[in-house]
Amino acid sequence: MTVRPALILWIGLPAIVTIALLMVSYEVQTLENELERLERHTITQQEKIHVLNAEWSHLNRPERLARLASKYLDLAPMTPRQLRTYTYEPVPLGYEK
Amino acid sequence: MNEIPVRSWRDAADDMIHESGEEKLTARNARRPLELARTRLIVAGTIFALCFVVLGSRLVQLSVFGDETHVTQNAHEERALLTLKRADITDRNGILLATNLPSQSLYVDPSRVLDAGEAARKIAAVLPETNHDEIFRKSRAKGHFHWIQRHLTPKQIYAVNRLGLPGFDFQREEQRVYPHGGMFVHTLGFAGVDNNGLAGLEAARNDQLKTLAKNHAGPLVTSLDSRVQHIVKAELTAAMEEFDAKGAAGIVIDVHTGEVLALSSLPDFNPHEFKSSNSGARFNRATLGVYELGSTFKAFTTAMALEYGVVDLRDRYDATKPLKVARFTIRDNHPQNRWLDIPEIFVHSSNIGAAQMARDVGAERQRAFLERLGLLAPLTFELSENGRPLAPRQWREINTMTIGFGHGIAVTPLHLITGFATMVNGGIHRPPTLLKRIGEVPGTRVMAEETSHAMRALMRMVVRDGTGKKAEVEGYLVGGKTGTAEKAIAGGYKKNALITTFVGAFPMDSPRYAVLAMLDEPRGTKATHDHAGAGWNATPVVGRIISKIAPTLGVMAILPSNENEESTEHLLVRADGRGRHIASF
Repeated sequence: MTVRPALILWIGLPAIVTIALLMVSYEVQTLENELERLERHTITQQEKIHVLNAEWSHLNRPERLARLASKYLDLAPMTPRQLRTYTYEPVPLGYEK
Repeated sequence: MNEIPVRSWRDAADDMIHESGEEKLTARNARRPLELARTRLIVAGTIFALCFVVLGSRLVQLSVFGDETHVTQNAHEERALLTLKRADITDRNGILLATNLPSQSLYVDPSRVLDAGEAARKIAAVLPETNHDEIFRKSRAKGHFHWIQRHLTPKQIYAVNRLGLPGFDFQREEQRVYPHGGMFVHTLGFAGVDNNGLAGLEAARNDQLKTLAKNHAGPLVTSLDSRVQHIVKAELTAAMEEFDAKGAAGIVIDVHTGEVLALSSLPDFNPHEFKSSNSGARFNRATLGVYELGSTFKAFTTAMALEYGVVDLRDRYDATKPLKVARFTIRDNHPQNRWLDIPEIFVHSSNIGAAQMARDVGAERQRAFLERLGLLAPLTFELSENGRPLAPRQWREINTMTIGFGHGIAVTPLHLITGFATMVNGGIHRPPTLLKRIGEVPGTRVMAEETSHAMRALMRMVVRDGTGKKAEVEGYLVGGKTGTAEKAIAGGYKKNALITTFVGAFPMDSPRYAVLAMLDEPRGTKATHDHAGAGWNATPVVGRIISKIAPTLGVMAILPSNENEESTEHLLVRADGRGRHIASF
């Protein structure tokens, strides 16, 4: 009995396509799950950053910084005399005009 | 399957015909059912083929693109973003001032509670803010959801979980948090447990904050500067303590845009504990309280007299004796008992002179001028607390004269500083705002530029030679006006209960910022020789604020060593076009 090549083609092709489609479909599903997991992870991280931002702002309260600076640092608030622009700086030799 | 001889449908049809025993049929007649069957088979085959094509394409569609409920690309991006119920609020430099943080709230589902009595006893023991009877009632109530306590701390969550009570569960919520505590409470206001703004900017811009959060459109950027706010609050707190004052208010405003950089009203409160705050602390003295602000109004009187051409700076008024108008007598606090010219009236803060100047301007023009400065109507400020100025309904001559020196009219400190900003910025009125402005801000011209220049020179003189000396800051040409007024009470004035104000701007050769400090009922101290006037308390506060905020805000000091000061002062004096006169003052 001879096997008709056309028949093999028409039975084999759908089979291959079906298997390929199935594999792609599963892969898509896996990737989508991965995406969802990553999205959840992103949101968790964003939430953490959000909380840390609030804490950062809380810890950088000017009154707290002033208190800590006066306790641990040899720094004082800037006085008017400490503020200058370039035009007030002496010009180095050889650069005038 | 090919082992069985495949017979074509033609043979099968022939068999059928023969088996049915219809030998008599002619060949022609025999072909008819044959054709019929063939047609039927073709039709059936086509239908099946179509069905398979439809099924196949749907299968491809489903596996490649997913079904209709599949989210779009855009939604994917949205899904990866943290969505909160209220947008953040930041200061002008991006410092976080208000934000929503996730929190857990405890609720009860009564249908799942086993022993309400035991549960209530245990919960009340670990959550001190709850009430045993209330939990008991809620645990036996109808429905499936009753709040027990909102926004628990991690320790409390742990304690409740450890009890292992069925029916008690947590719901994820969001809590409004102010990282700076009470620092901005009188501008930002606060939001309640349900994320609705209840006061201040939070209430006034409630919908905008929610829309911004929904669209991930970033924070609401205010005009505030947390560094400046800190300096203002610290100085006011120190002054309140030093002079035993009941309250204080301070404002810093950009004179060219109307942006409020700092606004403080003391006493204040912690927005996280607003329920336990008293009404005194919740009262906003800077934007809601209206006060008779006394001599500071002489600046408006002088500006309007110059603007309408009623006087020029060389004109003089008789201040030799108290002025009698109807049954009132207007006296000076620092009597000079001589004729005073306009700069002298301003610098010595002469009530007699200012009253006569106001009378010469006239009621109608005075009213129109104050109206253009925005002093007779509530401000369009982004807060839910905006005070309505008190002005006489019938504007008689005596009203005109007392308003000339700041009595008989009550405005909020924010009104006053807005008016001063207009007087020094070249004469253009811009309403104050709490939101950061970008680019040119439109405004309405209230007075000529020359008038504004003259006012700068006059205000500078008050600080250089007059009652505002204690506001002097080396390097910055500070100018301003003091105001000491007795507190108005029903039917008169309260003796020894003063509202002292200093409002000024710097640097006066090219003003950038206006600063106001107001103290409510300050007392004299040994250091002030028992004086309680504005020159002794509110004025030095402004001086200290300016000396700290000016370098922070990048305003260059002009120091004597640079030889520039003289020329700048000179410019200032020349600004009114009558340099000789003021210079001789």
